[in-house]
Amino acid sequence: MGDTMSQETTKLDESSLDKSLETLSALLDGEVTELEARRTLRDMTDEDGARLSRWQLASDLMRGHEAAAVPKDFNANLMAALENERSGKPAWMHPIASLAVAASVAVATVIGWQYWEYSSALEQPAMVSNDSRLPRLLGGDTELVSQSLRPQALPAAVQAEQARRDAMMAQHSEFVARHSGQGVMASARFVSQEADKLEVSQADATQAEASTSEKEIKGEQ
Amino acid sequence: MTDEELVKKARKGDQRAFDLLVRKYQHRIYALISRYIRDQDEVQDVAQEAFIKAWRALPRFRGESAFYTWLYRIAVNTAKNYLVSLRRRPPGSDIDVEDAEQFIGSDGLRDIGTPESKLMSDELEAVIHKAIAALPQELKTAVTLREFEGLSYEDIAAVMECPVGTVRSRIFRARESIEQAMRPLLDDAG
Repeated sequence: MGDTMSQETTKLDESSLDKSLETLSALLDGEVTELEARRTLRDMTDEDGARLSRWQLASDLMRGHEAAAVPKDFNANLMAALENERSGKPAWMHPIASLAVAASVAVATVIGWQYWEYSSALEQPAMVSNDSRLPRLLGGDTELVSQSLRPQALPAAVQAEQARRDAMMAQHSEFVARHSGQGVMASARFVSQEADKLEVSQADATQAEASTSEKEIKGEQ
Repeated sequence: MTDEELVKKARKGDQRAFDLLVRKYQHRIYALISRYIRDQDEVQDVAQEAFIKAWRALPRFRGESAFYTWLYRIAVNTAKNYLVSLRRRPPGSDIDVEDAEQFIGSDGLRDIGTPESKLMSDELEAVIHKAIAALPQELKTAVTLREFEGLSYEDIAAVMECPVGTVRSRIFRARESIEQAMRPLLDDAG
């Protein structure tokens, strides 16, 4: 029973394959409808294409045309070249040329990696100074000059600015913590990113702290 | 689907339509270039270049001549330019495009092709004729009317007094048998 069904399925598959090859043969003669042509072109496999080429060669020779067998990879190579044309790659992008490009990229990657490691090693002291920046900056000390001497001057300057701001915020937080629940709002505002303005801002905060301390003393009294 | 319709599709960027055109004419173009250039690797390169040039020039193809005639000119020019670039002299005699359509072998240029390729073509022709002779009568008639007489499927159906679908099936089956006979030779050729 199972064998019979399997045989019938195989027959159906063969029949369907024959039908599609029949259409392929008719396509060669220009004897298909627009719909069939579109479908056949869309579904045409490499093997179908090779078969069609052999039919065409036979047809050429039967009609007395001078025709020669082409190498098996001719169509694949040609279509790959056309694909490169369409994708903007030049026709000379031969596999060997591609290999050379790949090798160049690999070399560039290795050199880039080595350079990156070297840069990282140079930046190591900056990392250390970042770790200890809070106490140092709280003491009003900055290392802008020494950081600007490092390979990447701009990021260091930015880092110093960021550290200055962090220090201010920390100072403010400590101030608020000390006076929480005594009418002091925990808020801060940057007037400017410029160092002198920040110092002014810091000075204001210190003044406010001093005046609050006075009030505290008066309140206690 | 005619060449004209395939060209229209290819002009719109349909690479599969162009692939079909290539497959239809590559054997003749290959043989044509072989008359100018002996080395088979060079023939392959020049044939590929000719088809790439045709692909690029498709937008300028106005359809005033048959596609093959146009392609033929491109292939001849590409082969000649290649020889000039190598400072080799292209063959003095040339054949007319119209003659090329019906080329049988009387032209002197045919002798330029390699003996191997000539032998291959002769062997293939012999195998094909043998395969046709061995076909059942209805298949033989259908394929002969199509390939030797150039009749349309409808005309063949009228001659053979059968539906067009039957003609289609018979021609396909005949082709399959012929192709089976050709395969060993083509496989050897690589």
